[in-house]
Amino acid sequence: MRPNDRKYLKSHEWSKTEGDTATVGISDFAVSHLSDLVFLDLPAVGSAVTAGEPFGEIESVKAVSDIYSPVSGEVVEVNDDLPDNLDTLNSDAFEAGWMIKVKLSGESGELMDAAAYEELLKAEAD
Amino acid sequence: MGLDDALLQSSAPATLRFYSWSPPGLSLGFFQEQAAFADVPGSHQIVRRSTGGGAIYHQEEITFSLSLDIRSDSPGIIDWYVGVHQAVRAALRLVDIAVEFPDKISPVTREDQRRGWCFDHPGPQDLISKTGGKILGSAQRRIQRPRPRLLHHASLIMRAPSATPDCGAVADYRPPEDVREDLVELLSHQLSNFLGLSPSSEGPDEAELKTAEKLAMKPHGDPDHLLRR
Repeated sequence: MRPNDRKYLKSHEWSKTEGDTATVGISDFAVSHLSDLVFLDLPAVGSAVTAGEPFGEIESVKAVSDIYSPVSGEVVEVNDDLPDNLDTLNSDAFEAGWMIKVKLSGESGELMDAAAYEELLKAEAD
Repeated sequence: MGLDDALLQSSAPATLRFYSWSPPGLSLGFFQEQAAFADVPGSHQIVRRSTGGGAIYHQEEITFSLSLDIRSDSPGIIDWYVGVHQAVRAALRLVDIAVEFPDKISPVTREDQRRGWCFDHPGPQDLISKTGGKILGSAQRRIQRPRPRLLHHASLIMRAPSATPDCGAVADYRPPEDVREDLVELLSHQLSNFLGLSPSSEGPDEAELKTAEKLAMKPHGDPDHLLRR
């Protein structure tokens, strides 16, 4: 079971809200599906992100993929160490592998809880 | 590149596009450093692809892009590469060109990927000519919105360019001009078989052309996009 203290997008990003700030990352499923991560681009502190729009890009050995934001708001912190330590995503996608922190102004209407996300993963596996 | 990115965003279920380069082009992988290729000799245009991988000097080659929906039963990333490359291998065999998957591969560093040529580092899914050089370059971009889609870029080398003289090429076997036309048709047939689709021949629609024009201006016409790394 994935952590139930956060919400998920069907494109496999998660957001965890504490006060007026959301921490955002991608799930362990996304990491294993992409495999062999090489490069990651994250936005700068101060930039705006919009729910449902890409905020970053990640390259595995064979494909570049967009990373979509579950929330809208201003980026207030970026995990700057992550692009040079992508193994962190393999070992701890839900904590040390966080990507950005966003001062919230809104969130996607498509967010689902951990149970619904597990159902989605089961359906994708079938 | 603008048209390929427009096709990625298109509502068409699947598009296979063949094209060539005039003048020659130097395309960088999405995450590559432009400065590493600033001194490559030759008269060429330079562009940053939205797909990943290493740089390619596009001169005498058959370039194609495949843009299509990712369905729940679509192959995973690696199986996708194997499927496309098997289709290309089958097309080449029909013009008596035998290429194979590599027996052994050398490890690729992150630096190689940031500053290297696509054809310098064959991976396990790549096709190798009888000279030992990689003959087909492939790279992908995947999006999830508005619906899951992928863009697959591929370059089948007809004659090795001076920038990457050690890559494999159709010219290792036969004069490229003798087989080019047949190969385009065979590739279309074999790739359609792999995708389970029946191809019809038509150009881009109005919406795709409009999007392509926009994307050709930005990001592709924007120097900052090329110099972003």
